[in-house]
Amino acid sequence: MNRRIRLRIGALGGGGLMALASCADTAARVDVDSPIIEFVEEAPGELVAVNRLPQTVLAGLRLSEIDADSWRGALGVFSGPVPGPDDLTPPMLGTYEVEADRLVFRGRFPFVRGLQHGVRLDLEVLGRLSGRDAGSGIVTHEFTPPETEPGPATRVTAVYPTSGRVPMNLLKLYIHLSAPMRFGEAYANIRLVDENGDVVPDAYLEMPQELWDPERTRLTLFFDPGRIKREVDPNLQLGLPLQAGHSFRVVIDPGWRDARGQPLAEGFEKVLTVVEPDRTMPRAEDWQVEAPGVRSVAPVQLAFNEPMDHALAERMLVVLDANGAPVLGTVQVGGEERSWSFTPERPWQAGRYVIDVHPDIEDLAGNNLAHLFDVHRGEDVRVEAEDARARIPFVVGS
Amino acid sequence: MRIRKGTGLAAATALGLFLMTGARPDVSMTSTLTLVSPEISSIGAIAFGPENILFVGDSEGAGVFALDVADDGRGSGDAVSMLGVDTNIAALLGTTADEIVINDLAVHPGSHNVYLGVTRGRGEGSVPVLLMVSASGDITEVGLDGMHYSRAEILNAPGPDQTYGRRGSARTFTVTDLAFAGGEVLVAGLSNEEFASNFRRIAFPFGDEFGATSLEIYHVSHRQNETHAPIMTFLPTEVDGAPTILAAYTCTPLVAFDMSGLANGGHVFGKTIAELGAGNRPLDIIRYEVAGEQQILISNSRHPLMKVDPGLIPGAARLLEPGETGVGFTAVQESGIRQMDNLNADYIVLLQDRGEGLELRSLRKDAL
Repeated sequence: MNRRIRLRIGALGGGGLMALASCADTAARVDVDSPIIEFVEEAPGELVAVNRLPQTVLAGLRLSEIDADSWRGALGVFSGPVPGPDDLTPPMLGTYEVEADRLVFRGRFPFVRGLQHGVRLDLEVLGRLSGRDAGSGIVTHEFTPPETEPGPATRVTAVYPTSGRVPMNLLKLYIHLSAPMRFGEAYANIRLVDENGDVVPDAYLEMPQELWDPERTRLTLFFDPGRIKREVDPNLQLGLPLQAGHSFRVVIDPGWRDARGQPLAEGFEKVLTVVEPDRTMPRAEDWQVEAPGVRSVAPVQLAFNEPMDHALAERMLVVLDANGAPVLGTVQVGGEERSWSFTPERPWQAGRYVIDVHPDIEDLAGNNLAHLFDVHRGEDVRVEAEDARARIPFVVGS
Repeated sequence: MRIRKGTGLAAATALGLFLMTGARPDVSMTSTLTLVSPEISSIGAIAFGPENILFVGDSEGAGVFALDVADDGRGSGDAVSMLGVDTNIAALLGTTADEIVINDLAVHPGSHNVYLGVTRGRGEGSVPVLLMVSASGDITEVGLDGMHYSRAEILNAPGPDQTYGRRGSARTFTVTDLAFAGGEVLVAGLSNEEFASNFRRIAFPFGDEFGATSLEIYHVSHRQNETHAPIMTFLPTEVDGAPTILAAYTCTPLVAFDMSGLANGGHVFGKTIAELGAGNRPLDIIRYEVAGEQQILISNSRHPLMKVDPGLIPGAARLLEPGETGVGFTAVQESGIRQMDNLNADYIVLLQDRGEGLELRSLRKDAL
């Protein structure tokens, strides 16, 4: 009989599964020499072991070529209770081996901590696979891999922009957390609330993929660009989510879970005082550079004339020496993202330098050096990206 | 787990793909996949290309993989139907249904097997898994060990982030959709930092390490040039014989781009032909044929399934004034459809949530 356990469409799984169902009643009749199933944590990993199987059966299993589905029909390990006779829940994927005096199952994926697992051993099927008599009946076992110790609770460490005053057409927020977060819960746990305490609906661009950094400790939250851009449908129907002259709160719920499944240590609120929209492109000519002294490791400092996007300010400016080679060092973005400084690894040599500014650097409204985020009719001031690249010279020494 | 081998390629399929892609039929695309055992950080959008090649968007790894899934089966063409597909996958992968994320669905054009890009786990230790569902309802893991592949980068060529290293690692490019058309892999997405540069084209077979070039596409709507909204889903198609991208944006316009103008400097202008309504996100878009007629289907987060007659697109007026809705559509009263693809000549297959968990469901094309 074909004993492959598979997921099948429809209510009945075929003869093999019906036979299993009829055996299930015998589960209680287990004699003193019956196999013992246990969950074992040992190097190099966790496993489910079946002990006290007859040596003849183990020898038979060693000699037989058994495919994965047949194995699963004989020894099914489940990420939940052992399913009932009519339940077609498939067993977990994994590998089976006879090791010394035991039959061993190793999961394809790690066992989930704190989750009750079930094991079902069908002795008749096992006997058939081994070509020996393994007895009859179903032996079941349940186990719960112990939870790992929870570490310190995760916190919101920063929300950018750090300035409390933001333009009405603010494009994005960065939420930094002290540890990796769980996927898929961000939008349900972050709300924009107006002065009356009402939630502003559809304020954010909700991407099913969520916009995380690779470590999942920084979430990028875009305000819905369709509401920010003038005269596109969402803007016309709903207006901008933020309104000048009013204040709003970004409320982060404490129930947001981290990657270990633990809630945040506490909630977090950030007040946004909203001012008129920013509809001008940043210009590097408006920024003030302050050169460091020769042979010092003091930073070269740049004062922006408005707050800039935090992540891009960290990444979009490069210091080049007179030969055009990048100078190695450390970047720091200053308070309210209004300034930028660069500390060299080695003391400055006298000479001419340039701060090379990539045109993709943005202000808080998503305007960059090449174009406005929201181009209204008749306002197209777009420039080619290469022409928009800015070079801010400074001289070290006399 | 089952790893299938073999690179059979039916002559009829080869001819069809030649017509579709313009590739030389004497060159096997699969033979260009010379690396073995891909290490994929995340499986997001997936789409089949020529031969047995499955393209996988890896947002976390900032790359696109071309995988030889070596699926040379010839499917029965039966409808696929499975209630609680997330529960079944969870059981197979040894976890619970709330820990399963099904990111995308694609049907192998030869075997009609349904491929699912899945993430097991939402927290620590979450891993991508590629699964295959056959018409008979078997779910198998498509093992990556020993699989042939190639890979292209989707972030830009080295820039400031490479110079200063550390901070560059925070930047990702989330792939929202990808497709193979005209010998290229087209990738739509969104950076988690800069808002610009969201459509990439990568010549296939993959060549240089940094394969992706940014394509500036402007849709002209309400008398403005709009280029920065992220595309959620798109469809390469033909309109009046011209290769065309039909793109659905997060902020709801449906835009047609004539790609035959690509040779002229990488700027492409499209026209907004429909507005799908505010407060709604387009989720997937496919084209299908029934009784010799082409149709386009768009699934949405809030609105029902929309059916658009592609014959209306060439003559569609460019939307210029606010409030215009453009090309009409027929609402099909099906909702909660997250992903869809052509299953075979008769059916489309859906990943749908009708309030009782996720299900795989097949709908007859002639009943839509």
